[in-house]
Amino acid sequence: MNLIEKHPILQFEHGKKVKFTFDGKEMEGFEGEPIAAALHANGIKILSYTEKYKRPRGFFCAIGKCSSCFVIVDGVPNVRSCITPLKEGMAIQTQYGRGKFSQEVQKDED
Amino acid sequence: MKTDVLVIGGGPAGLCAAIEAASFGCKVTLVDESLALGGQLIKQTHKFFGSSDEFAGIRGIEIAKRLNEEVNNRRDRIEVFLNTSAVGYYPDEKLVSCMTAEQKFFTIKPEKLVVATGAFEKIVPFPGNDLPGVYGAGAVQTLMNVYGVVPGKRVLMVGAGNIGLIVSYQLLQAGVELAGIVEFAPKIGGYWVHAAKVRRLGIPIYLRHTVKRALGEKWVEGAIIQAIDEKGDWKGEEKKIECDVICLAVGLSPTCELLWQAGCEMEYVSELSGYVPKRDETMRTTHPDIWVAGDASGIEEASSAMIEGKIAGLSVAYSLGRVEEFFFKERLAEFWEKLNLLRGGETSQKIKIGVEKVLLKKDDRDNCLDIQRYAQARSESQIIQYDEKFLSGVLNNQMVESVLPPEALWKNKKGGLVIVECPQTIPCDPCHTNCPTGAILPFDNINDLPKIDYSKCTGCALCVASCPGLACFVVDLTYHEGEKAILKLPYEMLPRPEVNQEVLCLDREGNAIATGKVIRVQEPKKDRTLVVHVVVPRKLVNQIRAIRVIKNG
Repeated sequence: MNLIEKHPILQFEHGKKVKFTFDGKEMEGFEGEPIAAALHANGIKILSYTEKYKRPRGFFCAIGKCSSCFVIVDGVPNVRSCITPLKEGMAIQTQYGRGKFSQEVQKDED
Repeated sequence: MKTDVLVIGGGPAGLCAAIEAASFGCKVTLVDESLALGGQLIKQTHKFFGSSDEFAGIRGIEIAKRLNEEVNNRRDRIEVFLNTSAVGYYPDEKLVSCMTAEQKFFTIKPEKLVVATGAFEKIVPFPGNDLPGVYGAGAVQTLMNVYGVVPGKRVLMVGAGNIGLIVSYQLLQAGVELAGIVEFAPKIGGYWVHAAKVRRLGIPIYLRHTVKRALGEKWVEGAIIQAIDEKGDWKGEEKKIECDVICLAVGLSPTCELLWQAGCEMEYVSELSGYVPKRDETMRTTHPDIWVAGDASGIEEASSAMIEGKIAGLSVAYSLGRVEEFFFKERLAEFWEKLNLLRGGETSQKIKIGVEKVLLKKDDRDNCLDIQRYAQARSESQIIQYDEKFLSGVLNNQMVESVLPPEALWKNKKGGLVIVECPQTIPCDPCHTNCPTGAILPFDNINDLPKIDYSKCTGCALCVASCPGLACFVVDLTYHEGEKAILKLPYEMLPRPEVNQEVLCLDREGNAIATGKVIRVQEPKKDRTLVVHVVVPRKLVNQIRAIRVIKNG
């Protein structure tokens, strides 16, 4: 993970290290920290592609306001990755366009 | 669920509103979208300006901790929902709908509502501004200062307002390369001392420049910047900047969707950076049950947001009959006095103009107090025109002369005398409140420039350690080796200098002009701001204002 090791003012206290996947690839992050921060630390910049022009989107505001950081989390699309805490075993995917619920999630909802 | 007071937003304004209302016995519910309370405060590693009676001289992260503690001490009266967005206001039922963790939906029915929803990052138009790697300044701060994630290899900062300048300095503290700062205006918009801090570390500020386009297909791989003339047309050559992050610090807009939904009367006020609700002196909007505070009422500093929060919290408690009228008026006047003082400096003039436009006066509305006049505070602004160098944060030679101590006293003064490079009227007083000998005189108005009685200065450098703008220095000309002098300067970077170490001495623009030797490293306030004593060539004491530690090996 690409983390700041030394800082003249701050001391970083990270939580428990957990494993998650991004588009099937296993990665590590810290429990309870935003998904977007964990992805960024793993070098992931593109979180979604736009519906019409297929433009890549990364995160922008990091405070849950701009909708630029939508990803699919455990089959649920349009999750604001900047304010959603990371949990062990999460399956995160790049979102294309408006995203689709996975079939399992749809079944649960029915 | 039902509650007396619902506060939406747990930043500086919301926290202060909740604490104030709860202190009068109100049952408060506080909701915030993020994962921790404190809003933007939890990202602020710099020391705050303002009055030492409030939080001046204390880092934002520390202020967040203190406010958090105050909330925790009142947990019997304040219920907190984190990771919870207030998504709608239903005016007929007076209901606020909320959603936790994007999943759990519920409603809150408050007697009174304080909207402290903060602000939203603005964006500037240029091709490629949607690429990953174009980040809001708040996002960069979140990554590096809250979660310790490296935001990028090399950053181009867009905007030289306070946020752009502060985040630039923070990037350097985090060890990230900074390519420079571009600013559309012909002068920096933030506090001059913030600009001086990054300039003396060698960071260029390109005034009257803007980003022409971002380079890269998948993400940012560079940027093209260019100068613009007075009319806003391109001028001169394009300049390619190597960078993988373009950080936008081009201003904020108030977040006020809920106020629109509630039918509050709104007005576009450019001085306050967007649509804001009309409000009276108690921060009550035109909706009788809704108050506003902080950036949602107009973009300003966290220090004033906290006072607005207190005003809203107090007034809500008063409207619920929890505060005696006399006490309410006294306390409200006290808050306004502080607010007016904070807005007294030259950089806050536009805020005052903006607030004036949306402030409901006694004539506009019944039962509205005329506190403004009751608590009128003095404010004088000193607006002077300076040269371009000065406008990008570098003191010019004539001005250097004007900040030096009297020669006769200075040359024989053991311990040295203070030099304060603080040429702009901003609300700030820690240099005085931390001076143990009374050499830095009391402020009549908190916006005044510091005045010094050199006969009382002992060169103790407590001001060097406490100045939020890192604008105080001490020069001791009595060092025993001829041709040398001791410079005591503030240092908040890595690596930490060691005694006897050779360091590079930088001038006000970051040029290495000499080497110096560290003879002492102190941390007087135990707050991680170091005061480094460096032996430097005597003839350069008026030029050297920073050091760079030469890495070993």
